[in-house]
Amino acid sequence: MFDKSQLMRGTLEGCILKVITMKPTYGYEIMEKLVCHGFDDVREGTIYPLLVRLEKKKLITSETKPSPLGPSRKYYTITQNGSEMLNSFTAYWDSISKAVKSIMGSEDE
Amino acid sequence: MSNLLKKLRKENNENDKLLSKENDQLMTNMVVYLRHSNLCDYDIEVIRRELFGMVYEAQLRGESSDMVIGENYKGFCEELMNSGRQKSFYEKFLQVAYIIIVGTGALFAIELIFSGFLLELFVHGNIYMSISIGLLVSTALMIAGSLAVYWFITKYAFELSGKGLTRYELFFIIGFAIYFTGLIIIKFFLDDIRLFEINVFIPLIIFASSYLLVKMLGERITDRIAGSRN
Repeated sequence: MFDKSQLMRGTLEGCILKVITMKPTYGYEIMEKLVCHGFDDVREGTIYPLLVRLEKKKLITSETKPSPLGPSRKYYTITQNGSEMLNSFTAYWDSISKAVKSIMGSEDE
Repeated sequence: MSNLLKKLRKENNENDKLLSKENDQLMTNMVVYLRHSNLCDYDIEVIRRELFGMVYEAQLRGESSDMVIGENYKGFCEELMNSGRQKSFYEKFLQVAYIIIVGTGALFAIELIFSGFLLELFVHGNIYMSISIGLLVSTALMIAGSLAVYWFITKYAFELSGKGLTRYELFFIIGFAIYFTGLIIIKFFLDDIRLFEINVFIPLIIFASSYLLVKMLGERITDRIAGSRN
């Protein structure tokens, strides 16, 4: 059975950066957006360690704001470095997804 | 403890009261397991506050914690351990030094009280205390034992909270019984072998000043980390 966690881990960071680019957002909302676009297995707990890592690498910053549900929420915004990382992820993804599609679509030699 | 760390810990302790019993147990297990890592205390409390937010909002939505975090809580904590800022060698050294100084100081104070030294001091004005092999060996074993207990409880936090008597708890109980018996035997047989006498104020001054120094250095690091987070 194919272990999809490795593939997920490699692509989720780029997708999270893209979601954060759209507007300042928080963990649960990021998760909902990803699920909406087809990442069915993603939970808030899946992306929280990635958000910690992205913040540590200074690709995103955070600000705590009050929430209607009770505890304060951390809202994330992308940094300049994060935008550059997203651009290079997008370029790399375009080239690698073409290569994968090409191999998967080819007939047996 | 740094004031910022104290304040955050107090806020987290208050927040925990809002959680259901199951969620509170889960949070406790995760935080104890995180203490096994190389993350610093302040970062663990920051993570604790953020995890509380996730778990509590899920609780308010009527969702269970495994819908938010997944079923592999240990794996989740390990991801956090790998993602966060790791303690430097200097921070680890300060932490171990703090434990050794506080542990040794406390055991020395206990020895002062129970060895009859205080009686000697107040009745005969004798400020010299005998240091035996038994005292040195038992102190070293007690410090090592405390560190081992801390390591075991944090590493097996999830396994130890299982229902009924788990094999980890059984191992802990048997191990502790053997260790404690060994400690008593060592103290009994080696306590009479006196090595030297020491003016009791010398170790007291050394313990007090090194405790203050290590505490101040540790607080400085915590304040620097907290300042960079806020």
